[in-house]
Amino acid sequence: MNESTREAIHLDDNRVLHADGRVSCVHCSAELGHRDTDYLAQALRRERAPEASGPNIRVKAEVFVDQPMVLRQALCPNAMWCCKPKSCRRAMRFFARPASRRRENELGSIAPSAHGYNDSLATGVNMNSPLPSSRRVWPNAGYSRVPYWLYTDQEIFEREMTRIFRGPSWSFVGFAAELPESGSFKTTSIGNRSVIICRNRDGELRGFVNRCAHRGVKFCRERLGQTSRFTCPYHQWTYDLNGALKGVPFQGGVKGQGGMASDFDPKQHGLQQLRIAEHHGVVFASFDEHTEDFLDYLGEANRYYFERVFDGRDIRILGYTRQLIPGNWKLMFENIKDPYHASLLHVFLVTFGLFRADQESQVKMDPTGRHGLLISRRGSQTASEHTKDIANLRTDFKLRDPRLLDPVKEFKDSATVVMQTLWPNLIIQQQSNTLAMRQIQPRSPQEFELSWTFFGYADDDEAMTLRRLRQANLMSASGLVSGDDSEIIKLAQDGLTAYPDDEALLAMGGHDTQDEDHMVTEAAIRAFYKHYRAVMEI
Amino acid sequence: MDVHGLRDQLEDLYARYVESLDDGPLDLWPEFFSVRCLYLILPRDNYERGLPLAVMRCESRDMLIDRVTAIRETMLYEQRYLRHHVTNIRVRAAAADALEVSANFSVIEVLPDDLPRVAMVGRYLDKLVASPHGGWWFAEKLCIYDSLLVANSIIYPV
Repeated sequence: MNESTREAIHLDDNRVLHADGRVSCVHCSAELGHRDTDYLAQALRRERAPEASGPNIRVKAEVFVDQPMVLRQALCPNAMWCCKPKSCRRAMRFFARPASRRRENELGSIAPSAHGYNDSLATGVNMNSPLPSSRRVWPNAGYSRVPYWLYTDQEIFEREMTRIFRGPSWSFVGFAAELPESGSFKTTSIGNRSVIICRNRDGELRGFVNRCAHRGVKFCRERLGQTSRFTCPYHQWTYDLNGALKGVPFQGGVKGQGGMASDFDPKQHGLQQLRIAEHHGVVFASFDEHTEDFLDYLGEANRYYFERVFDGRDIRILGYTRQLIPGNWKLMFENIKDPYHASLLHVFLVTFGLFRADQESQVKMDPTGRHGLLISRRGSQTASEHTKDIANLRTDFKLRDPRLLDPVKEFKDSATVVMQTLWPNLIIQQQSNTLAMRQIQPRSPQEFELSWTFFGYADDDEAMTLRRLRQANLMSASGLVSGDDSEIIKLAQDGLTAYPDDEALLAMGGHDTQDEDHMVTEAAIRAFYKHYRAVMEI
Repeated sequence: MDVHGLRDQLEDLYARYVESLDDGPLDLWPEFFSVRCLYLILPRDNYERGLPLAVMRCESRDMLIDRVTAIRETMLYEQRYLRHHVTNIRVRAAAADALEVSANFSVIEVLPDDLPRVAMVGRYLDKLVASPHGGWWFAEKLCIYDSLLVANSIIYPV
């Protein structure tokens, strides 16, 4: 085999990636572009009139978004747009069934290959391709229903990794304070992919994947460290602090024998690069070169609250904790975007008036729905006419050692709780004086890592640091409050897994996705799914 | 000092400590500590990097009692059985009224519909003081866990 065929990889049923980075159509070899570009997203975003796609075209692109099995038609200029969506759907159902349950000639004159799907598609081996099964249709009630297959389906998960975590988004990866000098590095994950963030010789932050360009080894195993270069332990391939390939042992062979192919160019085999954005000491990374600038991505309202905590002061890292939560990652976002539960599940919060349904509060979203804010103001430990629905309200519980909860005002406005959720992987927690980043790292449809970084400010005095450390008792894996959340997420996943065809109901506060001045609403979850559906095209 | 006698005392102390967690009643647990004390459960990487954050932090016997009350009265969690196993108890420093002791621990957790699993593995670094009633109290107990990725939640103390 020659070099190019040996290296060609089938990206999915429609696309082949060649060694030189070209991407071509499986069916006709037409050039579809280059690996560094997200062709699929481009193709689906492309607004072209149906008739511009071929003489037989009778349906518009929106049809393919709802029934996206005709992806080949969207990708390849030589492919016809499908003229009979009904035929497509029949073929799709045919391939979704096991072979033993298909009748011969069932498809009649429909030629599956012309519709861009086949058996491998039906078994769900790829991620960019259309969803194979006809049951993957969102319920008809806007955003106030969420189908349970969304929390269990492997194919949905792969699509989320591609479109959300490696798509046009900024994922939180750490603090500049964790990377103080040239050669400082940190490993973390974006979606399910391990990445490295490091400071290069010029003092700039760089990001690249933690996967050797040679044989795929996850070569860096330290979470935080200091180095002058990265060396893969397998064959000692060495990369500099920018991720460029600098050394390949025996590249020129030994005693005139062997060695790398003569056309091997180290410049083409560096580590896949990430874009980096830093704002007031907080570092984000993106796989997609087209992601908008970070501040535009953040938006005005969210920028205000982001800068409320990150006002430019130096950050002091107080420590880390990590949890492996046996539930779908979206349940974590739903939880933090849901003020309705906070008054009912979290007896500790309610008992001490830290967060309660009758307190002054707001739910805000950005215009896309992807980011959200829960804002509230502390009340007192007393019952009121509004708390009679809270069966668990305990007004007799007093702390024997009140130092656990000794909050002081430290921010410029009157809010005492601001939970900010930033698409696609971050919760910024400000509850009283406990501050933390909660980073969501999906591992599978049924499991995600929640990685906590607790912090304060470099100019905190000892009393403030101690206060933050004491209040941290409310949070993380054994949190008096957030322990409830990881437990309830497991119970939710346990409950819904056996019911993929049923759906969750999100009708508190109506069906809309607008901002609210109260807590009895699920609007922020609906807004999240509004954006989610647009990105996922489901 | 009678080394063997001390070893027997410590074996007995840790056995009773663990029993309070595994078989209860949990109210007995704070009684193993001095009135002013420090109890921390923290991941090993924080400890080794000198980062102060603990997932459970109690600075007095009263704070331990508050934690027990919260576990009983306010927290939501799936019911579970735990078995703590303490081994390699070693006296690192000894005076007449104070000891420094280290030991390994592992915690097996059983959830109602799951097989048993190792929920946590780590090491105690303890400082003990002589109790006025005889025996020893924990004045400081650091529960430093190697299993950095916590299996969902830590509800009960270690």
